[in-house]
Amino acid sequence: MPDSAPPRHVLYVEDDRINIVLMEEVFRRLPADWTLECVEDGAQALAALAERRPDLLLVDMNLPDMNGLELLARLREQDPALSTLCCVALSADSLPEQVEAARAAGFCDYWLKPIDVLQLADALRALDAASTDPH
Amino acid sequence: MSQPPTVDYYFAPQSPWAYLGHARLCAVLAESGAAVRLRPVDLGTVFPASGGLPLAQRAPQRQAYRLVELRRFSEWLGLPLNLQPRCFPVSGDAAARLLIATDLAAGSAAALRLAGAVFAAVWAEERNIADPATLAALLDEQNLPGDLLAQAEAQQARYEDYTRQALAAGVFGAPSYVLDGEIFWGQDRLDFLRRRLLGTAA
Repeated sequence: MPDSAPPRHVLYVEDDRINIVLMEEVFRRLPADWTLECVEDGAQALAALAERRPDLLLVDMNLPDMNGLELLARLREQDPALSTLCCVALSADSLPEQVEAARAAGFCDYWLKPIDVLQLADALRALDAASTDPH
Repeated sequence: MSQPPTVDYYFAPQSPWAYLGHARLCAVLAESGAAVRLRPVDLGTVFPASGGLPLAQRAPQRQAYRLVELRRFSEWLGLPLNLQPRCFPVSGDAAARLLIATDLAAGSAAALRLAGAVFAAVWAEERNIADPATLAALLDEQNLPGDLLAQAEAQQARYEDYTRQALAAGVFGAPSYVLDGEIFWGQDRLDFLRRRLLGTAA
């Protein structure tokens, strides 16, 4: 990643606290100006999105109060400008129809759990590079 | 419903090897659904009781090879690490007591988060984890209540007890992961722990 890359703020919606610890470990491998905010359910995510727009939203697909598809629909209803926000689904469910449903709903990618720290750090860098590459 | 397996996680807050293994331990816990009991220990007690030596007293060859291995693993794991950090050697006692207090008050996941932050403070951020101001800042950064620092002062007896538990379990270095009485010593043995937890032959 070039030194001139802008800071990145990522919102992670996840109710499993060990996975939250793990995501923080992912961020130790990323540039220091990447910041991570973690919330534990869909309602907290909607509140956090109303406060600050992240550069990337990571969503566990099985939240205690709603699933990832519902969260995506509700955040767009709450603020139509968020329809351009890059949202990535995280799930242990690898069924093709689940992946397809997430993509059809508007998730820009679908990453399988369990989280691999190195792969996820690379994927975040690649996603960021793709979203900022003028070509 | 049967109880999930429990890993006893023996470590010292100033251990670079615990730092290097922390994320993979968390990944193993997430993947397997195992519970964890954080057991910060005093290596100053463990080493002399188990035939080990503090770093400064080891032979030059061993000290040199340690640096090679630290660099090798940090590069492989993509984890920033200063081979000779500004605030090291450092006492891990205050951080250990704080981690115990956090575990008791906020649970093991919160304590794992804080442990990751403490490791990084020593090995990547040039911070002094023996300084109460640093520990207060780390709590704040992890959105944990500042009064845990006061609660930590009462945890010396438990810290000593965990150290005795480590010796009783046969632990002689950090990190050690103990599952059903079986010791997995060192972050390079996490694959064996993972296979054991997932039910495949280790």
